Amino acid sequence: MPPSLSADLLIPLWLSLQVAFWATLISSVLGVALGLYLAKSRLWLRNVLDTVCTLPMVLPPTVLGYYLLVLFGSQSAMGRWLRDTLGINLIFSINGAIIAAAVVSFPWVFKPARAAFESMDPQLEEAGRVLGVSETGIFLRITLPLAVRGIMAGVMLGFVRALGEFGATLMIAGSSPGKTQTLSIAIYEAVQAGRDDVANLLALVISAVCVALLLLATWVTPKRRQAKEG
Amino acid sequence: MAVWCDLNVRKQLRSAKRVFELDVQVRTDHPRIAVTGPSGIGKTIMLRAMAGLIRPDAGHIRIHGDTLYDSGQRIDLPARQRRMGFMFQNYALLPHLTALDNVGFGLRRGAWGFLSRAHKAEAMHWLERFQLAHAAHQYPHTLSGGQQQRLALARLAITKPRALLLDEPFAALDPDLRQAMRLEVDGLLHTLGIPLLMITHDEADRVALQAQELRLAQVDGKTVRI
Repeated sequence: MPPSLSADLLIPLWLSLQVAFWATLISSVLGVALGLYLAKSRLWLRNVLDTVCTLPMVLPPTVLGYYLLVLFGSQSAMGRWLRDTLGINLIFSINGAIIAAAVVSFPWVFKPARAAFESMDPQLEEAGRVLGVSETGIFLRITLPLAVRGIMAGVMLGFVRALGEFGATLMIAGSSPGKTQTLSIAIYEAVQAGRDDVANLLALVISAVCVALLLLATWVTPKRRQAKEG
Repeated sequence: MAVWCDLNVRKQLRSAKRVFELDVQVRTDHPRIAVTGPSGIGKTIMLRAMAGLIRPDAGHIRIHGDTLYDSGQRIDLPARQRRMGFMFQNYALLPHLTALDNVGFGLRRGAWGFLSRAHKAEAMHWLERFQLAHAAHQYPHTLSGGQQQRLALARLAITKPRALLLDEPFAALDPDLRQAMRLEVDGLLHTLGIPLLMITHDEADRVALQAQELRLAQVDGKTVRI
């Protein structure tokens, strides 16, 4: 079968970009919030929390996918509640692919966010307080602007990771063309089917996208401000 | 000047190596106070407590008769309501903002977060007062040490503080710059008509600003006034 531009490339690419976009949005909002909390908290539990949230970085994606299946599958209380009360089905749907990609990209966002918040001189926030600025004002006008480059670098890494997600997505969302078959899964299917020309094309496209995004991430990575002496 | 500073600060401090106690009482009508004493006994803690950046264990802090903190009455004003002109040792200028935006930082913003024209003019006025008008659009790291300190003073002055709290303000400056900055601070205190409480190790600071010495020392592991 000759490769078809639309069915073999554009549809999986579009699906991948959609999944990665929503997954990164979810992991960014939660990741920045958790990064801020962990950077400010003095609770002993914070290191446990940090470890648990870093797990998706080191666990095999299939194990992660299995956990998600156990958690959200139709057999579980959570899965039934989601389906019956909210009408959301995660298994074999794009929602499942988004959740899987969000979980996998989460540590890539929250770790740099935590580091960005922690590397800040706390006296800068104190200076804001002394000058009569509210806590909201301090967050929006001091904390966030000073951390934004670090956060953006993490968001970029999270997006790349979400885009390349394979194992957990396959476990929870499966591989149904046009519905859950993302670019990285489509490559696997193409190789299985012996369609090397399609696999070549897809591999090239996803490599190019990832290189472009990584370049962008390097570009927004924090550059140390040079403090002038004397 | 009537009694402007009436404080009694008690705080137990735990650092990695030791535990010590701060128990300082000050009641003074002298408009300029120079706090002296050996390093590491809690002089900065006292200033930070006055500014509201740390909470004492007990005691009270009254400035010009206004109670900022009183453990007995359970009063503890947050730092942003205290209007204490506390200058950090390293100035804590905001690196992502220009000199003008640093000076205007403590002023009220409009709904979109921009300074009104009047506020901008006010910020400009204070920059001019400290010979920084030409550097209004420069970032702090491009300024010299003396300019950074003048910027930090301008940023405090614009908020009309009740008092100026300086933590070893001249120690990091070149000797030939020190006298100029002492005069700068002296002039600012006159302009604003507010008292000064500063930590210093340099007798020349105290003499130049005609300040009264307030000596702290450690007695039996407790930091007290002597």
